[in-house]
Amino acid sequence: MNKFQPWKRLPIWLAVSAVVIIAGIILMALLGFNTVSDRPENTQFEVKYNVVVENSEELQDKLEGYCEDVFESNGLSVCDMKKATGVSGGADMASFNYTFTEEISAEKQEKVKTDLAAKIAADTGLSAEHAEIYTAWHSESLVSGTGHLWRGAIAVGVVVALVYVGFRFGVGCALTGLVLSVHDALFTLALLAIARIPVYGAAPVWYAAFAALLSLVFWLVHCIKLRSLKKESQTPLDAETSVATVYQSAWKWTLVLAGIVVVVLALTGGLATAGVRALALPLLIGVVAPVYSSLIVGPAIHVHVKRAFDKLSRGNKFKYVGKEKKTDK
Amino acid sequence: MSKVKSAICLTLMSLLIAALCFICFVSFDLPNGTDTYNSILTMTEKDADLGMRYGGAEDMSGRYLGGGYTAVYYPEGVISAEEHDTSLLNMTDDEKAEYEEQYEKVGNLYFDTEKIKLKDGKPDEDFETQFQSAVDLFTERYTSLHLEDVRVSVFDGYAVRVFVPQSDTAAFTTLSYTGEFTVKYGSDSSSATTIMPARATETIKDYVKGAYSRAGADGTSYVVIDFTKKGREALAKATDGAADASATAFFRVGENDALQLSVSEKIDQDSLYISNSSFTDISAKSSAVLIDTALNGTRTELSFTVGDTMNYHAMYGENSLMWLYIVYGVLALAMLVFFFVRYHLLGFVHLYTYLLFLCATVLCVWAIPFLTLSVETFVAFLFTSVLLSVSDVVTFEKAKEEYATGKTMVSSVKTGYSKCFWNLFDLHIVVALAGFFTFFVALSPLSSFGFLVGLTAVFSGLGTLLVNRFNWAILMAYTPKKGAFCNFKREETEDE
Repeated sequence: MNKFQPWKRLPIWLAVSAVVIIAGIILMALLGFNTVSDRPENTQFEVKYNVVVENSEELQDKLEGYCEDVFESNGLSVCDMKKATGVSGGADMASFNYTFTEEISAEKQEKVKTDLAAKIAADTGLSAEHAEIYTAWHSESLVSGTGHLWRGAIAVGVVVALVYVGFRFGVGCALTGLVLSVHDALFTLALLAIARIPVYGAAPVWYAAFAALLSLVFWLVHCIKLRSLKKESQTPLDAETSVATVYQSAWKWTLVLAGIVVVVLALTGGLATAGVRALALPLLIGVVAPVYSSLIVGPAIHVHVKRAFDKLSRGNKFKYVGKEKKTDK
Repeated sequence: MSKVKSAICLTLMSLLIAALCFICFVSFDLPNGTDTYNSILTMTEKDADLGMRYGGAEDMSGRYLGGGYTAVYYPEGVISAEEHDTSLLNMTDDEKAEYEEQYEKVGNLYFDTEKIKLKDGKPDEDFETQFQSAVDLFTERYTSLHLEDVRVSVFDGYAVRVFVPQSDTAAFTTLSYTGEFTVKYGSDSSSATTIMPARATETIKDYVKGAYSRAGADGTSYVVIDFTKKGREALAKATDGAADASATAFFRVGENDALQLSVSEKIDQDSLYISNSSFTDISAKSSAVLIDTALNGTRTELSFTVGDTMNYHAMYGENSLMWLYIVYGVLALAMLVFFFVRYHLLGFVHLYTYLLFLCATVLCVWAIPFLTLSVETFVAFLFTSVLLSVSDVVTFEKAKEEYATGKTMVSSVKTGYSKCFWNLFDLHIVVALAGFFTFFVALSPLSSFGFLVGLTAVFSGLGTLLVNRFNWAILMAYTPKKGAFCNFKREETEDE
């Protein structure tokens, strides 16, 4: 890692980021995100039953088992099942709601209903306890744009934090941090759009916010080390030497922090239910982008930013050049 | 710190943590066999996507425990297949024939052909346009509620299904009203006089600026209606004689009363605060959103009826909350193993700090009304847990470096902290600022994520810079071998 000097290849990193972000923006505009996790178009099979008489676990399990048998015999694969309770016509009702993303013909829908009715009728115990079992097929199309507004939240949050960074670590550090945060938010969204990773409709904004926040933390590690180096060094170091010296220890910290976050997210996604997994695992993209930017893009940009600000601060300093000598002609 | 002071502080700190942990995490059935003691975590509101009933409480009398509620809006003249089939059950053959002739099946719904014209088995273009406008209207209304995980979908082609994380069937009904907003004044709504708009050439916007909801300090929810100058004058004029003969102001959307206000004195003010005893936060919000969206005139000619309301237990699957707790347990165990292996008994210092951080977070999520336990807030909490743990590692490592050079433990801790204090301070301030400002601008669920990041970053900062150091001082006062207590070692020097 010590021999790796990303600041010497800035045009390459900028080109990589530009290609990914532009491709991502085009895909976002044309196709949007892959919101298959929301199942925007789905077909549902509802099994509703009266629970006034009896609602034992055993009977619920039996009914659930019959449904699964019927789906299997008709070659249907269920992608989700939710249980619900409510009141219908003054009676307490419970329901199983099976969701399918595949298209199911009207004939097959009818056959499923008939097959299930036959199974229920054959089970005298179930028929006696649950006199009112009602089945129905439904179609659902999710309307987009409900409560997922961007409203510049991430940008405002990050900019305010960077104003503080500007005060504490210098405008140059804040400027690079701003570039990196915006870069990481866009890079994350672009990767999600390009890789067509399944996400919930509202989730990409959250992933971008997470990436921007993590980017800020990773960049702060560099800023803290740059400030320490400035205090410790006897003579002012040039921009490239400063960034290179800091890089030697900062990359370890960045990778350790990123590693901890990855383990936490992977464990959350790995152990939790499928629904939580679908939300947590794409968040790993929000870790990859800040690692890339703080290890590669950040130092490469900051060498130029720091050089410019160092030059500016040198130019603003007044130097005593002694009294003007009078020359005799 | 002297040993006596340390003993007192350590006892008090241990008791405080034990009490907080008990309040936050322990639920149990009371000896009388009917009541249950619920922990703070049990009572904390859960997001719609989670839903396990945590602890012993199965029925908590209306407390929201996760999951969500759906309702289906059917346009007038459209009924569900279930309603159609149920209606047929109690009919004679003649009635059945007549009923079946009246209703035609379109997809999974039945259309009343006397009310809606069908062409080739589909409703006409005008109905399609009106229905699409209604979908947009419902989407706008439910989005304006600013509740997490609100979803609107087109159900069976010509009905609208909505999902909200909180139960209030009255709100489902309120938000179904369509039509123009009018204000009437009189003894009953049928005979009341329309005072806004008073003339056909005017619109309601000439009288009313907008409507929104507010909650008072005592928890009472209000609908606030802002009037224009003309609106204020119209209301003042209409209610001029209210002191002598009280009447009612009817705030109507279409043919339905959105709100009613008993008037017993003249009303002459720019804003009207309306509340009643049955108002909840969501019902006040719904009424305000209904009025505000109806100010733009009639958006759809269709009227809607609300179908059955169903409660879904967990959108992310059964037991998703339990699995989040298991994930947290595994991570917390890994964290403690790391601290106790690397720093031996110094791990207790981190444990004490972390438990205070955990309890403070749980109390805040429970107490702050707009926060719920969700995957987003869980990730925010994990993020700042990592921040606190890493910060504690940094302070321990700095002290370890100082101790290795031959300094005393007290001096090592002091110098170690002074070396990393401002770095950790900056780190926490930056994260807290980013979190809080994201919260101020964002809408849920990003806002709750931002807020919890900000809040817990503050807790983490206080924990690592103040509480952790204090715990270190009181826990280490007894041990004679301070280096062994912390697993810190001196650098070995070669003897000449």
